[in-house]
Amino acid sequence: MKKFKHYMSVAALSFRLSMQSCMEYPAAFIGWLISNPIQFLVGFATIKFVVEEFETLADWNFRELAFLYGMSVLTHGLSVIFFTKTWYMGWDIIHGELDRMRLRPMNTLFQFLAGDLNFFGITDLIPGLILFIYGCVSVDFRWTFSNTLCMICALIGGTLIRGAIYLAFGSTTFWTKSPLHISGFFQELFNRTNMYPLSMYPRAVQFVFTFIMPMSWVAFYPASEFMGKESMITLPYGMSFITLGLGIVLFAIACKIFSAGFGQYESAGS
Amino acid sequence: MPVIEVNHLKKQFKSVRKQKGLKGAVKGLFRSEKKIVTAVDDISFSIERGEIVGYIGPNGAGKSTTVKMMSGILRPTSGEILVNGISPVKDRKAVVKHLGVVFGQRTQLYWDLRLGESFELLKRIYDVPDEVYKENMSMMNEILDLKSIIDTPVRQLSLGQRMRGDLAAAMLHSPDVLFLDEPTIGLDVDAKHAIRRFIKEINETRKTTIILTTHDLGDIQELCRRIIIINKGVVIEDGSLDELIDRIAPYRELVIDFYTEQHIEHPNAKIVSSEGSRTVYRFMKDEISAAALIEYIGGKAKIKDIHLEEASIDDIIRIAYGGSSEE
Ligand SMILES: Nc1ncnc2c1ncn2[C@@H]1O[C@H](COP(=O)(O)OP(=O)(O)OP(=O)(O)O)[C@@H](O)[C@H]1O
Ligand SMILES: [Mg+2]
Repeated sequence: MKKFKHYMSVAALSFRLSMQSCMEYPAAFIGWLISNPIQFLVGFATIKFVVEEFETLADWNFRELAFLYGMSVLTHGLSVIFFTKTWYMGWDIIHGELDRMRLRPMNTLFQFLAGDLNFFGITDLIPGLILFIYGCVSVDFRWTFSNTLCMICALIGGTLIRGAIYLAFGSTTFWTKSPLHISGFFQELFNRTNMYPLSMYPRAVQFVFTFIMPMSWVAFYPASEFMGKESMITLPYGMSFITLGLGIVLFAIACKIFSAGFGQYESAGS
Repeated sequence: MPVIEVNHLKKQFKSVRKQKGLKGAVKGLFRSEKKIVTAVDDISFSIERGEIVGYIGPNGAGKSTTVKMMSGILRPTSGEILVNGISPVKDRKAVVKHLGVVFGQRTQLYWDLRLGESFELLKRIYDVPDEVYKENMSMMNEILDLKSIIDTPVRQLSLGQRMRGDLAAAMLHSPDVLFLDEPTIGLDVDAKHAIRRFIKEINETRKTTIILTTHDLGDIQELCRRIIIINKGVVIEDGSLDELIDRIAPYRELVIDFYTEQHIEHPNAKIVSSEGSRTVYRFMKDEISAAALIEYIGGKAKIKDIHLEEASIDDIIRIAYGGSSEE
C-alpha cells in the first residue's frame, strides 16, 4: 500500500512535469494543434463524400460511420498521449538512454511508461473528442448504465490494444539492436481498418484483422454491437468486454516482452 | 565488511558484425555473423567504507562497463558483485537506493526538465524526507553553486554546469556509495577544482565510498590514495599510489645547472644527460638522499640552480598500462 502510494505520487509529479515541459515548445504545440485536427477532419470529410456516393457502406449510414470514426480517433488520441514513447524506444535502446531507469529504485516499465507522457497528444485527443461527441449525438447514443460501462471498457481496451502492439514491436530492438520503424505503419493500419466497416471488405481481409491482427477490435467490433450490425462475429452482448479483455491480455504480453528485453539490455558504448 | 566486492567479473557483448556496402547489408539480412567482444574479462577487487579509489586504464579497458555492472545497468556474463552486501543482479532496487552514479559522458538528468525540477522528481523517486533534502541541497549549493542554473532546462546547460547538476543529483538521497565515471571530462580548470573539492568534502564529511574513473591524472593525484589499474578487462595493478610509484619508478632525477661545464660522478647516481653546464643525475631513493647528493656535488663545483624531478604520474601510468618500463 505504501509502495502503491509512492508510485502514484511519482506518477503524478511526472505527469505534471511532462505537461510543463511540453508547454515549453509552444510553436510545436500550436503546429500540432492546427495540423492534427485537420488530418482527422479530412478523414471525416472523406467518409462523408464516400457515403454520399454510395448512401451506405455495408449497411452503415453516415451517422453510424461518424460514431465508429469517433471511437477510433478517441482511442488513437489516448494512445498518442500514453504510448508515443514506444515509437522511439528503439533509438533509446541502442543509444543507451534507458540507463537512467536502471539507476532509479523503481520498476523500469513503470518509469518507461509513466515517466514521459506526451502531452502533444492532446492535439490528437481534441479532434478525437469532438468526433466522438459528434458521433454519439448523431446516432443518439443512450448513456444508460450498461452502455456507459461498455463504452468505457471499449475505449480503454482499444487504447490498450494499440499500446500493446507499439510496445511489443518496439521492444524487439532489445534483441535485434536495430530500431524497427514500424509503429507508424501499425497506427495507419489501426486508423484505416476502423474508419470503414470491416464487413465491407472480402472475408479473407476480415479474417486477418479479426484473428491474426487484432486491429478491428479497437473500435469496429464494439461499435457494431452498439449499432446492432451484423459482422463476421456477432454477439448479442459483450463485444466491449472482449475488447477490454483482449487489450489487457495483449498489453500484459507486451509488458512481459518489454521486461524480458530489458533483461538483455546492453546500454551503449560510452 | 567491504562495501563493494567484485569477484571474477566478466562481461561479453554479442554484437552483429555489419558487413560493408549494400551487398553486405543484404547478405546480413539472411546470415548475420555474431562477434563477441569481451569488455571485462576477469576483474576482482574489494573496497572498504570511506575509500576513494581511482579506477583507471586506457580507452576501451572496460572501466565504464564495470561501473555499469556494479550499478545494475548491465547484467554480468559471469562473476559476482556485492554492494553493501547486496547483489545488483538479484536486487537492483535495493542496491541503487543507496547508490549515486554520475557518467561524465552522458547525463542521468531529464533533458526536458529544468534542473530544479529534475531534483524535485528525484526527491520524489527516492522518497527523500524534506529535512534531508533541504540539508543536502544547501550543502550542494555551497560547493557546486547551483543557484544560477537551477531554473535552466537541462538541455541548455553547458557541460560543466550539467556535470555540477549531475553530481548534485547523485547526492540528493545521501548515498553511501558513489560511482563517478569521468566526472571531470572536458571541464575547465575552475570546474575541475570545484568537482575535486566536492569529492573530497563528501568523502570527508560523510564517509562516502567513492570509485572514480578518470583520464585526468591530476584527479588521481589529488584524490586517490588507492588506484586500480585495468587493461583489456583485467586488473593489472591494485595498490596505493605511493607504493606503485616506488615500485615502478623508484628513482628521482636531480637537475643541476653549474656555472661552467662539469663532469662530476657519484657511485650512487647515474648521469642521464650532460649538456653544456646542465647535468641530470638519476638516483634511487633508497640508496641516497637528494640532500646528500647535492652536498657532495656542491662540494666539488659551484652550483647555480637545482631542481628535483619525480617520475611523473603520467609516466608511471603509461609504464603500468604498457607493462614495460622505459629502461
Ligand atoms: N553496449 C556495448 N555494446 C557493445 N560493445 C560495448 C558496449 N559497451 C562497451 N563495449 C565495448 O567494450 C569495451 C570496453 O568499453 P568501456 O566503455 O568499458 O571502456 P572504458 O574503459 O570505459 O573506456 P574509455 O576510457 O574510453 O571510457 C570496448 O571495446 C567497447 O567497444
Ligand atoms: Mg568509459
